[in-house]
Amino acid sequence: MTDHAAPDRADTSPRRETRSRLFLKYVGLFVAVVCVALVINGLLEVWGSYREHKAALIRIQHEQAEAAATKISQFIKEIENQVGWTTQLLWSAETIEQRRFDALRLLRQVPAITELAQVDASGKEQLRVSRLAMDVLGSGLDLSNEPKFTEAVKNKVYYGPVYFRRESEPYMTLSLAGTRRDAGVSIAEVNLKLIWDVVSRIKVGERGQAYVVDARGRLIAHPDISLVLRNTDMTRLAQVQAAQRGTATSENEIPTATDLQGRTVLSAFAPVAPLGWTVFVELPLGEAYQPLMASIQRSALVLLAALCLAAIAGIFLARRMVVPIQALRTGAARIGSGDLSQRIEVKTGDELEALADQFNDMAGRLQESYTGLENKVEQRTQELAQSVKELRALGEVTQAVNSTVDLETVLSTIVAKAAQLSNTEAGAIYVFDEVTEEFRLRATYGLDSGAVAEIRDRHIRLGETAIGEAALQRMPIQIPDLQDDPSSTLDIIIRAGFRALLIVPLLSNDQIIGALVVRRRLPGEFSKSAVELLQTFGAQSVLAIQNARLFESVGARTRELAKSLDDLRTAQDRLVQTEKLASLGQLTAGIAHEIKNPLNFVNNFSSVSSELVGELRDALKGVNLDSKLRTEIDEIADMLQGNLEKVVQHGKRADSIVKNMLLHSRQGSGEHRFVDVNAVVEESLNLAYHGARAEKQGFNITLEKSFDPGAGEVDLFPQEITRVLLNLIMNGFYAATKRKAEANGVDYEPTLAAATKSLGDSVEIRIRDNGTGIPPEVKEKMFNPFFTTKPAGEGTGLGLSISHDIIVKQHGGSIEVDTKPGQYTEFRIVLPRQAAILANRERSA
Amino acid sequence: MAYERRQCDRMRRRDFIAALAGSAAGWPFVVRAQQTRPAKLGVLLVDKREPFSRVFWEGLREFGYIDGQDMQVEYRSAEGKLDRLPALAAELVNLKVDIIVASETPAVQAAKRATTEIPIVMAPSGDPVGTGLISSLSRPGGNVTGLSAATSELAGKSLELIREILPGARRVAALADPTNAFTRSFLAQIHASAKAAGLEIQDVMLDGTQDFEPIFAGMASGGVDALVVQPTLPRAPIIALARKHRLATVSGNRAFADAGGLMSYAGSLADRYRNAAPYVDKILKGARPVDLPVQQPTKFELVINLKTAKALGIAVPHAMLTRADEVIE
Repeated sequence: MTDHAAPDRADTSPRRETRSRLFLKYVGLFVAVVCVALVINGLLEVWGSYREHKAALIRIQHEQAEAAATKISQFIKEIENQVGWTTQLLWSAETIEQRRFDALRLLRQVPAITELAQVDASGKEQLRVSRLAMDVLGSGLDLSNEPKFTEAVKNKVYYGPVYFRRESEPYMTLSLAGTRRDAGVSIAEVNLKLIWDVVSRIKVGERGQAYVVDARGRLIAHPDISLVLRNTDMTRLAQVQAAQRGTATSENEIPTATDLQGRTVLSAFAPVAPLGWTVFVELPLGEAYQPLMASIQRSALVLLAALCLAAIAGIFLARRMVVPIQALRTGAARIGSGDLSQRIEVKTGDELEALADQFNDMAGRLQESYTGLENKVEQRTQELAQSVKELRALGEVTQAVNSTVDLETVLSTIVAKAAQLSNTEAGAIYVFDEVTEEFRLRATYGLDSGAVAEIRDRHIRLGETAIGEAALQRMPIQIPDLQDDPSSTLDIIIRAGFRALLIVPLLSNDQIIGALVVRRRLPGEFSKSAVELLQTFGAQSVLAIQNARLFESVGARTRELAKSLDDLRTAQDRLVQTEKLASLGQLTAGIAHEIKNPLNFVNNFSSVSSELVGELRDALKGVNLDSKLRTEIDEIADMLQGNLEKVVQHGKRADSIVKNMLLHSRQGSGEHRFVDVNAVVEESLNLAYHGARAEKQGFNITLEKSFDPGAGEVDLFPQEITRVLLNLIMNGFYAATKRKAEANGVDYEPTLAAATKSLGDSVEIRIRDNGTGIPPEVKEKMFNPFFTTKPAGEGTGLGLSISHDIIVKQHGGSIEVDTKPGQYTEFRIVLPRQAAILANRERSA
Repeated sequence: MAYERRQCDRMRRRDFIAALAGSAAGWPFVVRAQQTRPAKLGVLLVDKREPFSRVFWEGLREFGYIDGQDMQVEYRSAEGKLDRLPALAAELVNLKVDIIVASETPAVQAAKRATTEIPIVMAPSGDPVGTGLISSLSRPGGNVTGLSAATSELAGKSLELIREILPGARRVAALADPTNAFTRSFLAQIHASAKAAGLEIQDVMLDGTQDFEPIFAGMASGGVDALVVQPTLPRAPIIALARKHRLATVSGNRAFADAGGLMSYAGSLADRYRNAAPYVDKILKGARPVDLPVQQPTKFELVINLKTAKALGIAVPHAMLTRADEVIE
């Protein structure tokens, strides 16, 4: 099954892709359908409301403009009406004063009129009443050619052009002719600043405004009066130009234009009928379209919400479709990839479920036909596996035989494999001993150690038990049930609960080598293949045993040869050392002899001189000398004598040293005799000390002597013992000096102690130093020849080895060492009083 | 109507959508803090604070200013002593006011001399072009703008009023302040109108140092019937002396008639004081005085003090009373 896993996994990613593609298709389609509907609806809605809104705006603004125009016309008409009263009367009917009074009243009633003049029918000014200047009566000014008179007479009413008084305030001349021919004309100067009240009251949205422009494009009224007072020219605005050209926009369209502040505005205008003025109503575009924007925003929100809903609905529907298809697809894919136990779960109650059921049927049939095939394959596989196992085991055994010479390991491997492959619980290999003609257990498998130990003690002879039998017959023997034939094996085996045995004799050219046994707890015949298998293992065992025997004999030979080579080397080394020492001894003896002669002179003449000083003193006794001189001579003589005695004393000491050197260098072991032990130790100490000082300048060590006066004499070879002691003492000096060097200034005093002690029949000598001590690994080997810890060239390594030989072999004594690394080393020598004699006797014997 | 119904429909739908989306989105609420520092205004007057303050504040209140809260006004008045004006103007400049509102020509002049930086609003000043305060009405130039009082033109009108109320009057004295820049155009206008009115004019210069009593006595004995008084002259002593010497007075300042003068003919208080408020507002909102044209009065008021008339033994003609905008009884 696992073999199908890889293609299965490889299928996964494209399948997922497919799933999402279908899923997305469903969702996308759904969302698209809903959205298209909504977007179209929204756009239509927005378009509709835009058109309606725009139309409404146009209407409103036009209405506002018209209303404003009407108001302004009314304002002017009002003035006209008021002025009209003054033209009702005939000039002859009233006094000029009366007229003036009427005019003043008119001025009070109409604040916009700054000046009113009345002209008679002939065009002569009769009266001028002003708010600013002094009133003028009957000036008779001829206005008959002025347009304000002629036009008024012709048309009954005349609206003069707008002019800016003192270049600041907009004014207009308004003339009215009376209805009767001789009523004359009233001319009013109207301050148009007062239209401001009208214009500033027109509310156009929040930030919109209305303004009035005259026929020449001059600003007459504006909510910002500053603009009017500055006499602003409006003709640079596109909308004003358009209005003046008369190409005025049609009723239904409002052009967007730029106002004085540079804002984009919706502009509408209406003419002020009789005056030739135009009222403009303007609303910033942003403000105008604000409700429209809000509407669009709302539409967008609705669209967004609908989009979300559509997406959710789409996902829901797509899931309902895609999930069962998906289940079908996954199930089919699994079945296709071999998982026949797979059943597809679709509970939709429709065609998809029927499809799933058919898939399941198909899978069931496939599974049935598969099962038979699988069983067969399994059986064959098992057989193959068994053969492979056997071959592998055999290979391992061969490997073991070839790779190791340890017989136990090889045989253990063989018996273990044999038992395992023959389906038995235990096994053993016995090796036949040709000398005793017995089988001995060499390797076991599957037995507890108690049983093994017991079997090991039992010796099986030829012909005894089934093993002996098999060996004799040189044939494998099997015992299917031990209970039928208990004598054929050891009781231990039966007690251990084994019921069946198979024995294969191990033979080499018909010669019995041993036997391979396997034991089984279940009774029954062993198969032929098992017997053959065991025979194969048996043959391997024979090989292994023979190999081991060969190896063993080779090993033994080699060891013997190595031993004799070692012995030869030791002997040779000793010979070389002895030769060296002999020649050194000869040299020393020669030198010592040469020194001895001059030393004799020194000694002899100094003792003679000492006597001569005594004689000199005697000779001087008789001479009369003053006491002072005598005292002085006595003193000198005493000093001389003292000096000479010292010369004698030290000469004797030198003599002793030379003697010792001679003694030491004398060839051979010399004569053995009874010697004072203390003297020997003392001499050795002196010799070593002086030797060391001679060798190394500044050498210093504290010597502690503790001699037992009862040590007495011992029969020994003095030169040999001296060599031993010198060797030990020099070693002690070396160790102490080394430790001092290592101590490096720390308070340390190198000390060497020598002690003797009588032990009755024997004497003990101890040489102890407080040096570096001897580490355990060195202590083990230090009596071996050639072993040394000193740097190359400083020692031969023969010292302790020879010392050991001298003490133990020559004198029958013992030498022991006691040491603690970094603290001390003590050698203890025990010599029997009759040592040399005993040893010599032994040797001669 | 159609538009409104449409709006109505949309409103209902909007409510529906709001209810739908209400849970999803909360509309952010922004509250903007208003600028807190109050504007600082300096007011420079030649005489009493009222009625200027009352009328001016009427205008400011229309623009939403509240005294002491978003508008702090520093009043400085010369109390009739014009030589104090420069010091007072300097004081206002030192206070670092945002705008100086100066009433009457000497005050404007003092303010203009004190600063070329701080905007100055005239409230009002007679003939500002003639006195050189501004270069033209529509484009004032410099840091001065505001209201122009048509006082010089009205000076001629004053003579007409005198002739009408005192038909027998022959000699009229024009009381003027020699230190005032406006005096020249004031007197010029009077002289120009005198002939038409059939009146003889005597110029009388009054400055703060003189004793008025002998001057008035001289005028009375010299056959002067009436006085045209320059508005910036100290009101109280002139009115008292005119009464004493039974001289009719007319002035281009309504306060004059209110205080006991016989007549005043001038632009309305709104035109004189109140209309300065829009200038203050525009300048505080960032406009430059250069860009604000000077306005002239449009409404003129004739005020007659009947009490004074009675005291002087003058019978005011009926026509005059009808013409008068206000009669003080």
